[in-house]
Amino acid sequence: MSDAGTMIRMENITKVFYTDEVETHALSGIHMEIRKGEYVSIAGPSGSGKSTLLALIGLLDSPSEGTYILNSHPVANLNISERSRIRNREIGFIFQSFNLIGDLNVYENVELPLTYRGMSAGERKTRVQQALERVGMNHRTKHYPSQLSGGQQQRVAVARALAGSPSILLADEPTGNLDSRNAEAVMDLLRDLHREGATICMVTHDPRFARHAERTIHLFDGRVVEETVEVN
Amino acid sequence: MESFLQDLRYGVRMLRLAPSFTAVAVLTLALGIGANTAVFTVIDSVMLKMLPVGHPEQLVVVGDPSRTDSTSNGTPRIDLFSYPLYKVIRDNNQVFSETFASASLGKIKVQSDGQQNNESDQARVRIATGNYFSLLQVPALIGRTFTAEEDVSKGSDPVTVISYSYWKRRFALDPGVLGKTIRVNKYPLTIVGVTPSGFSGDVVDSAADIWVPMMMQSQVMTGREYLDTPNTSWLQIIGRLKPGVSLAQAKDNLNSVYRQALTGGYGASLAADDRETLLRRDKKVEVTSGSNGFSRLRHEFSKPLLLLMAVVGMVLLIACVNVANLLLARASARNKEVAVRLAIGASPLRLIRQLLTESVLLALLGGVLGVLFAQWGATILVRKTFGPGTLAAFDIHPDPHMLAFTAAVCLLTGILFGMAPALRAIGIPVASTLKDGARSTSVSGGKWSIGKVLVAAQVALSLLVLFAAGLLVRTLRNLKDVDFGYERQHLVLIRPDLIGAGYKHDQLPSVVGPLLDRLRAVPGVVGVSISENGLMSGTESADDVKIPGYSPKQDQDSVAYDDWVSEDYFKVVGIPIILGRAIGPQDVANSTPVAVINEAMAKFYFPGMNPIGRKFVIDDENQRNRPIEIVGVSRDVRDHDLREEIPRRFYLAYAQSMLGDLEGHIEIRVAGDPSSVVEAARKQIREFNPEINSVRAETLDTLVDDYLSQETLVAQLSSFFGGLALLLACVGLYGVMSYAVSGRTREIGLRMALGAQHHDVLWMVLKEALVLVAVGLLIGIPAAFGGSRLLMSMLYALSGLDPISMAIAISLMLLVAAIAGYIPARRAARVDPMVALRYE
Repeated sequence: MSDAGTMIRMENITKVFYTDEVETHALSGIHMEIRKGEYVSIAGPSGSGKSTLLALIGLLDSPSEGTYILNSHPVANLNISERSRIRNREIGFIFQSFNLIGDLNVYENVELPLTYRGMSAGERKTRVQQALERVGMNHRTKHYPSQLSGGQQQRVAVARALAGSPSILLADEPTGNLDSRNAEAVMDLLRDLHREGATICMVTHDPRFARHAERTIHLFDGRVVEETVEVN
Repeated sequence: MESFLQDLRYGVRMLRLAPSFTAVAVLTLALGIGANTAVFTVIDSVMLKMLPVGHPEQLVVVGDPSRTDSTSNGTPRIDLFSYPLYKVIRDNNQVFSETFASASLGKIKVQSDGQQNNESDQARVRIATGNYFSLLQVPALIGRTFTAEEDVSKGSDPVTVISYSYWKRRFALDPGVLGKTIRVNKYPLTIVGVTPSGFSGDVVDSAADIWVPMMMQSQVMTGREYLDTPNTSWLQIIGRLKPGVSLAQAKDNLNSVYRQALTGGYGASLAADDRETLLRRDKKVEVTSGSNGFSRLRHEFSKPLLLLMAVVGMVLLIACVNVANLLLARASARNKEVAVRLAIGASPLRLIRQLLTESVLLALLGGVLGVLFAQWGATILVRKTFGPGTLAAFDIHPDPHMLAFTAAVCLLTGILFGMAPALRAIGIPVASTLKDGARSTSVSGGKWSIGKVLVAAQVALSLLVLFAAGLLVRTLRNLKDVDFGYERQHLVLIRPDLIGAGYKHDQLPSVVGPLLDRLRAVPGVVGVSISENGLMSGTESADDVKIPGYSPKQDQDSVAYDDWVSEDYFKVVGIPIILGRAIGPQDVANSTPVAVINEAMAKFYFPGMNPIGRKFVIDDENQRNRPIEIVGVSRDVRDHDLREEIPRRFYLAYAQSMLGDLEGHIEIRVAGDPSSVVEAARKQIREFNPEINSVRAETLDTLVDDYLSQETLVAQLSSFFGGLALLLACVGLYGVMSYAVSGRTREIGLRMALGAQHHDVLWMVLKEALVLVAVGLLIGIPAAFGGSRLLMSMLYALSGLDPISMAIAISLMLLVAAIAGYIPARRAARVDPMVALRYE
């Protein structure tokens, strides 16, 4: 099966962690699909495997078994360099703790993934400005992360994820470190991006924010136990 | 390029944000890089740098390039050359476009007419053939250099060329210096030219101040006629190769010229026995590259300097390990940054490049500071190695060679110490680090981390350096403790230049007696004698001997060392006579020629026999019919060398000398402090005749110290660098243990909450440090024993497996490890369990 509209397809994905003599099955037999332009959330209690699944989708880790197709290409068994290249071009990450680099200013943080792509300085500048403008942070380019509020930092993180025009945005508890006002603002931003055509996959344990997505995949003990579709 | 500049900018920012880390790392690297640059600078100056002349690569040295300041009277040599032999080579070779000869007259009294002169005004004078400057392609800065006409007739061209530094020092760069007169050994010479700045002659470790034309030899070397004497070998030769001629071809041609000369006119001018000896020995004329000129020090110190280079190389490795450990500790604080970079698509190679850019930047900063240290270190090294007055002869200023070496070392060290942290960084678990910022466990915890492995390696390297230093220090001690066979603490040696003072050879016997009498009157003097070669003077004589009834198995069996000694020699020096008698007052010019032989000679030529009364002859044309009677056997003693087996030696009566030019060395036995007699003896000689220059007046202890200068240098410097290695290892161990303890605060708190006593925790941490050292020692001990093989030729009375040196090295290492481990252990034992557990 290979639909033109399918961006991500996972079949029978398993992830096992080995630590000393303990074998932990984080994910077992995961089947899932994300279509282009879709807004999907992954929900589940703590330890259910949400973040592990997001790490596999984002190619931060490799599955122990199973098939993973991204944009019609199998990516489950790529080497570390190929995974880096695809992450850089196809995936934009938004983390719970923002993960901005403290020693780089706002502009440099957003520019960073573009420098790894070998893009020219002129093009980088245009893209960074556009991304910062999109999240409303173009007036803070010289500021360092420590000089920004949590909400502002997360908007910069979104700009960094957007700057490279990735195929999909992966957001891991993007509101986890924010107060409710800033959390709502970030969720509004993601919703707007989705309306403009972005594909988004978000991990959250907060049902209020999960409802922003069109579809929610529920995990429990490393398995998909339910899928719900939001009816607007 | 752009991304490299970006990495560089970021690297600068990272270093600026962590000033303490940067300072410690840069200082550590500067010590290591500075030490390497200092030693390299001296090696470059002594061994590698080319002469500042035109096309130095075309120059070749004929003979031994290390025999500067040497003169040999006797059988002609081919490591040094007589003037007649130089002419043979110059006129008959087919491989050189030009050939010059030069020789050093040493540092001698030079006075300038029309200027205020002091008694102490001395200059280094070099005598050279007329084509010296033209062959070297060194034009005069002002005036002219020598011309071919000045090589034609003896004594007809009293001119001189002076060096830029002498012009500056003595004439304050006066442009009117040309035409002025200077007096070399009182003989007036007109200054006709000044050489360019930076040119100090063809001897790299002895900067010449003044050059005198060869034809003025007898005028500036009073009493000595060398130009027509084939038996005085004193010249060094350099030739410029014709285009397309190789060194091997030059060697073949020169040997062919030499062999033909021996059987031709040159050979006919030699005494028959000299000619026979030379033909029988069939020695080859050596030809080597002359691009870096003549140098005695290059020959003497190349091995110690290369050894030092290896030692400082190891110190640099240890410094690298320290910085690598600092970077590893710091890397855990940067885990999240690295994880972010990886997550957003930095490839591992790109990340390694960025981290290596930072470490190379650190190394370059260390290199800049290291160059400053190196300038200071190289100056000390030259002063210490070659003597305080030699600094001017060495170019140790920063130059492209030195800067290229430092840059290469910086690049290499930056990659070396940056690689482990960089490799570790790309291996971090990205997802979990981004999720919860998990701390690195690379240098904490009880297991073997990269940091601990590096510390064990550091201990092994330090042990290697310490063991080598121990061997060299014990070698020096053994050499200093060598039994000379006589009491050496109260002896003074003086070499008066009687011929240079204007005495003729036949006047010497009448001069020596009164001179010795005058010295006997100096307060504190117990006895005075004279001998041809003195003690530890660097001058030796050897001859072929014929012993009736003895058939030599090989050429060497006929050779014995000899010396002409006055009647009190054995008593003054303190050499015991074990059979027969010493040279006495009865052994005068017209009595039976006599000799005292040493035990080695007695055992070799007369095994199981009493040699007293037996006779032998010196296998020399003049002495073959002059049998010498053995009247005594002396104990074997150390008189010229400390390392080698004591050679066969016989002592002849000075009063029966047939050579006629025995100026000799005076031995003075004193009752008290010998240094106090040195100046008094000099004064007596000056009063006897103010023209007599005492070339050397020293205590025997000083001469022995000079003889051991090489061993002293390597022992002192290897000890210094051994100490530095130990200090760096100590800092490394302390750093790793401190970091491990800080990462285990909660665990230690828990242990204490569960009942662990202070001493339990103290021992737990200390044990960990000692295990690291033990592992390092297990690797280091066999490596040190293996590495000591490279030192074998430098050791004396010591095995490369010397247990005492190893025990000292291990003890030092353990002591330092105990100190380095104790401080973090004590801190661990003071952890408050409540605070530690709340910290969680």
